[in-house]
Amino acid sequence: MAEVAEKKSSSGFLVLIVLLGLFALVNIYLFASGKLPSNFEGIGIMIAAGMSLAIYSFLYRDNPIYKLAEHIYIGMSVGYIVVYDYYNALKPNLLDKLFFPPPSETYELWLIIPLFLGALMFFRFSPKYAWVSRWSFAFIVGYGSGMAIPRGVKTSILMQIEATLRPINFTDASGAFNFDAISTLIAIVGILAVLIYFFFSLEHKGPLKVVSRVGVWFLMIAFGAQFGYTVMARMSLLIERVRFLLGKWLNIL
Amino acid sequence: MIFWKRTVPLALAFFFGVLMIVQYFIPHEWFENLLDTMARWGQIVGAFGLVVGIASLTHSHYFKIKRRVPGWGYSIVTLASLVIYVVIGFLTECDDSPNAPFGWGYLYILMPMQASMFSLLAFFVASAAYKAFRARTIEATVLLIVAIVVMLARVPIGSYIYENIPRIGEWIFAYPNMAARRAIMLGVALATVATSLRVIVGIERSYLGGGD
Amino acid sequence: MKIDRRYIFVFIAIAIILPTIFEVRMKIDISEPVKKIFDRIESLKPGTVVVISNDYDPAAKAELYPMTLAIMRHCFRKNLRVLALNLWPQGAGLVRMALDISGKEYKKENGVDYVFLGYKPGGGVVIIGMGQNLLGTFPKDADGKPLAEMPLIKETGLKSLKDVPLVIDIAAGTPGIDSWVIYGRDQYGFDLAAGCTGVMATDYYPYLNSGQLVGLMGGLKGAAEYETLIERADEATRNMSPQSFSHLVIIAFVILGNIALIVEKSKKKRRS
Repeated sequence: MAEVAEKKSSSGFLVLIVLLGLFALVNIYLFASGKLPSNFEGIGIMIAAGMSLAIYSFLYRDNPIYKLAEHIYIGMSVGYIVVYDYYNALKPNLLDKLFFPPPSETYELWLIIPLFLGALMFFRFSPKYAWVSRWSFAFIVGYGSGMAIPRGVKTSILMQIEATLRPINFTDASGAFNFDAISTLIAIVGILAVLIYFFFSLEHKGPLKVVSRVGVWFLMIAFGAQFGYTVMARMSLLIERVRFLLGKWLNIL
Repeated sequence: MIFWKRTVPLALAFFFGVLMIVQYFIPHEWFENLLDTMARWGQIVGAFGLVVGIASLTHSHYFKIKRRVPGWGYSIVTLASLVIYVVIGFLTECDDSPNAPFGWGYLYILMPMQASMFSLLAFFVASAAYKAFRARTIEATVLLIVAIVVMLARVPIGSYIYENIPRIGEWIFAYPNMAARRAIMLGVALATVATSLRVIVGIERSYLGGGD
Repeated sequence: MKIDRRYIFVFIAIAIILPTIFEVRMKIDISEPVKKIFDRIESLKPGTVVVISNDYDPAAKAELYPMTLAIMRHCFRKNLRVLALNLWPQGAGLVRMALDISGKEYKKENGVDYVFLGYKPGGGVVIIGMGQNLLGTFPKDADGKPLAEMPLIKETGLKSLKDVPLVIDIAAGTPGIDSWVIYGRDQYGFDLAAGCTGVMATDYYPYLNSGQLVGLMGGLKGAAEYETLIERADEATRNMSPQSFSHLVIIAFVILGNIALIVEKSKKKRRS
């Protein structure tokens, strides 16, 4: 067993060396032939292609090259957020206004309150005083809940109900039958049926069972539509990467 | 101690929750300014929340390295990439133009890797299409038929197979799909309002994190 | 019938690589929700300020970046003024790229014809801040220049979202379209158009039906439709060829899998 594992490991290492060598040869050719510019842009495209292929190596099986690329990505993406957060949120909204306002403006001392609330969050790293961070989370959660209630009721409940209860015009301006009216009726039946399906306070039997079955059918149509759209979304992501590798890197498009 | 650990946070949640609800209904200038102030407080505290999340990630990787957990070498890679990129970002003052190191790193390392990571899903969808998307029941059959119609409707080749497929697809989205989604939206909104009210009056306390 | 999934991966790779190399241009049908966005932008007078919120990161670049570029090109062609921002931190570089490309094509000037506000955390909170006081929420643009001194702000007298007739949100999740509907459109009364990834598109038809969205672009096809409307075929249109063939391959796999299921079931019946 140990011999088989060792053989697999050494053959895997050989495959890795061969693939890296092939990647290097391809890039040498691309730079030498001028298909990749010999500047930072060309080096960038080469690195981008290398990183993309490292990620795709996972399709064969999980391997150290993929893990390395994955961890570089995690580190860099978090680093990007840190820098962006500082320069776009903390510095202009807090530090500049509280400590370094322009000459024409005064110090906005009331910002000490959100600074204090924000700083309290760091107490969650202390086992003894972690409870202090609850004050910051209580502010966020209370504020968020208070914001969500009236706006959520208006947008997601009242306006949706209003749209459902609009009068249906069975004839259009010229007096001809409006076939969209049938579609609207189907939609209203669907809305009611799905709402009844999700109402679990009463047992689904008799007429309720029939209506909730209709609701299930509407849900299946909705999930089928979402699935079809999701397939499209996933394929689009791959198509863009393939276009980059074939176009920008290998220059064969 | 219970006062500071439990009562004060519950009181804060109640106060700010009720304040923001009341603010919505009073069109007085003072309350409009309050909304602006609270919005800016929310941004600042939210920014600190991001920093805390990042510190938490760094903390966990640091402990992986310290305890030599299997795969700790990769944690060094993560932390090194983070530190190097942050240092570059601060030295260049977040200059994200392609000529600056920070912007170059975003354009040629971060962006391609993130795009590639998510594009792997295309392969797994294809694999699932053969292995898992089986019409075992009538409902599953309906789901698959609609999915196939939508897949054809969302590409130009669909209209070459049958000219009305795009219109059928749009009808499916605009009527039966819309109906189910609206019902789901109503249900979710009612649940959100109920949970938010529970948080404000102190019945829902999961955000306190357990303990006292 | 078991197949090693790596063979399926090879099929998909071929289904995408070959049509990418040997492109087949196909006619793109325009759907009603996408046409409504186009018509709304067409109805705006030159010089009007339009806000474009780009709430996505590189993971959604394939679907949403072509949309962003098409919308910006349309706005600049109509001589509208664009205020761009993003509510997701990692999308900022993409927005900047789109503004640079489209701005140069139409000879538009930063600060005069467009401003990139950059990123701010908070989602709905940022939208409310913009709705109450734009300059208070974004005192400086993404390059650190004071917003109040920019010709776009001075010449239009823009103070908040209440002064903007149209916001276009191109989003891949939360914060995104829901945030703009709840905290923006229903609060401050502007028209809201949206673009989103294919995964989320079906979720927003209730908003379209109720009028809370004036239009909706879904996924790469939505982007391709918009490129067709502005008569500027670009990446989304070119990618429709591999997209079409990959869908046919997926459908073939679904049918094959179900044939295998029927065969297995009949074998089991015969045995029992």
